[in-house]
Amino acid sequence: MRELRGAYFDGANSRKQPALLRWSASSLTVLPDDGDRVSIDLTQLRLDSPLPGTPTRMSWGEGQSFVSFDVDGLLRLRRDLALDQGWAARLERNLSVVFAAAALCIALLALITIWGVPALAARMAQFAPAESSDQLADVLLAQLEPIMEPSTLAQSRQRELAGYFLSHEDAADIRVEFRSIDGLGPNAFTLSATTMAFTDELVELADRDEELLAVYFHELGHARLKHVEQRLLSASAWLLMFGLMTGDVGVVGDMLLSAALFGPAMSPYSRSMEREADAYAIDRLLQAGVSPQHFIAIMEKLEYASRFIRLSPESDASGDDPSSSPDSEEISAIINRDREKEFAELVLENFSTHPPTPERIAYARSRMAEIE
Amino acid sequence: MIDAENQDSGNIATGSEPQVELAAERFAFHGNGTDYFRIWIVNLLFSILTLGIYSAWAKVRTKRYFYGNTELAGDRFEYLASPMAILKGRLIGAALLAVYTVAGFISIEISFVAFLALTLLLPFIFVQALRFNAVNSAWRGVRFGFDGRFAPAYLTYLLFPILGVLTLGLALPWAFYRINRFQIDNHRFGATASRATAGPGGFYGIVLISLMAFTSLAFVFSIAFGVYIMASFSPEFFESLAELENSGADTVAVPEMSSLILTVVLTYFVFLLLFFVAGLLYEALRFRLVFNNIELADNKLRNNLSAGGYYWILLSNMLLTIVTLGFFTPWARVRRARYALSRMWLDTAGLENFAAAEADRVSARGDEIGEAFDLGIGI
Repeated sequence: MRELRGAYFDGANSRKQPALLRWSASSLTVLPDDGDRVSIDLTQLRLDSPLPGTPTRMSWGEGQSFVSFDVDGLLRLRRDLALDQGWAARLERNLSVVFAAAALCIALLALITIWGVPALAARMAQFAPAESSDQLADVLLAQLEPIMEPSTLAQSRQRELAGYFLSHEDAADIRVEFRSIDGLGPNAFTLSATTMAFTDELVELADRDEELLAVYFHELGHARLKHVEQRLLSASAWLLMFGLMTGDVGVVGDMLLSAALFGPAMSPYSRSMEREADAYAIDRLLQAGVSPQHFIAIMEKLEYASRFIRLSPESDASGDDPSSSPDSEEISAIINRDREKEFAELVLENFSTHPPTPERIAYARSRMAEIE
Repeated sequence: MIDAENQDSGNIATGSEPQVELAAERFAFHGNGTDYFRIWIVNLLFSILTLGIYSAWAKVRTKRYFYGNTELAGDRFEYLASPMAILKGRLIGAALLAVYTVAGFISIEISFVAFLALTLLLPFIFVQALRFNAVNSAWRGVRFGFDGRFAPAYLTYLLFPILGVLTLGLALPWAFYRINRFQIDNHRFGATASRATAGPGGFYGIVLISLMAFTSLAFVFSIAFGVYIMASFSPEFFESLAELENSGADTVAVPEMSSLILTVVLTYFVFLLLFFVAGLLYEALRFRLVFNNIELADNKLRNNLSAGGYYWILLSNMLLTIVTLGFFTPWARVRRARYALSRMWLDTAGLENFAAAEADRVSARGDEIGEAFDLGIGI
């Protein structure tokens, strides 16, 4: 006969009855200090797996229970009655298991974050219907509305460009929007798998339509590969993942956590997506028999323009300004000089979504060299 | 603490009640972060390895740890749910989520219909979740219970918040008050119902304080931002801006422009952050209000939580969790529970005589559907 102390609750009310639990190999009995003895049917007994700092509870019948803090007594009870404490409790108590679990968790989470989620998103994005992509583009355009102006390009010029793009690519399902956007300067961006936008400044910056075609193909790469949809899916998956992991910090904390983790990556595209789009663009240019030199030309002009931001749109009305098209040597000099000396630029570069322009140009050159 | 909620904002007259000797029975939390980390990390690992299946067992173990370490009048709370029940609920929740996600890939209309259907399901899910959690929570062998009905739940969780928004937020604190009342008044410990004594005034008060905090933070930040701009950009920068205005030059080198744009973007995030920070303040104030205003027969739940102190716990927990990429979570949860419970007590005439109610039996579905959608019910 062995015994341990604890408290007995009959389940009918909240009265606590200090009691003794007494057991042998075949019987289990609760002896309240003042009250009648209670026999426990061993087949009905449920003994909770131990947790540090908490009493262990055993229950049976209609909500009757016995609770005890007597760790040694409980250990003997488990042994005598051959009751298992559960593998979770065993693992938690083993420090090397805990360390191994931590290391494994970090590795698995990193793997899922960096590789698993984007790979899954890339698969899933392919199922996104064109309808959703249209809707997505509309929402984004509506959000940009406050800083956008209707294009000042002539309707005929817009139609001419759209027609020119389509003559090289069967992409009638892609909407091409022209807009003037305050402070953005020359730029083009993909809003979704079905919509892209050019700024007026970009159209004006290009000296030849082939340069715009190069940009068009780059954006088409984003659209065809559904990059925007992929990023959205990834962002939701990360949010969900860290929500499940941290639980308590709430939606706010999850968002901040994701932002902290993926801040650089949360921007519309990752660098690898830019490289994919560049490769797509060069492929299409070569197929269309247009020299990738035009891709290089527009890249250089964009890089140049990003350092010399146009602040007074009124002056555009004055017409062509020869100073806006410096010769390429001048451009190269500026690009290289600025790159070397500006530390701030370097920091920005590391967080920027696009690979450095020289790298992209070098890529285009290498592709040109391949075919020669 | 588990099922408790709040009551009226304060000075409910006590004079009309029969004279009973009330003694304060304090709550205490005995858990510690290191112990909980061991549980948490094993839970996390097996939840990942089993693709989430184990999370049902993980949840039970976590809740048992927190309940089992929460003491009132010498006895611990108990969490009694079975992992299998939770797993079943979780699978139903996941299936619902999957249907909703797939709907999004089919068409906008179907996805909208799915969204509406989910919204209409929400009050039902809330009630089921509260019921499941209550029935599986116990103290001294007596289970809690929740008797909220579906019709009032639809009013409380759908209609009132919509009204709140339609009145441009004016009725929103009132909706919060109604939600709180619905939750507390329908809870019981055994056969004894609890009652919320917090009135609408309390909720208007805490919303107002949080809004004022946000406004003044934003004001201070705006001034600081203005000073920073003036100080950090060279006079030449402003001159070149002015020059541009007049000269009509087409292209001018403005090397500091990119850092100006960066600053503007940062400003946006800072305002977002200020909003979150004010939201945490609301959470702290709400907790204090709610858990100071619950009555259970002759017993009154009270706390002397300092809003500032609790707020600091929430804020620093959030920051540390972010900085550690989530690995501070176990300590954050323990810290929060320990602080909140160390400042809560029950004014009671005796805790011996609560009778249990007829055994409640409820499926886990409601609860875990709620979990799947991260509704964050309960403490």
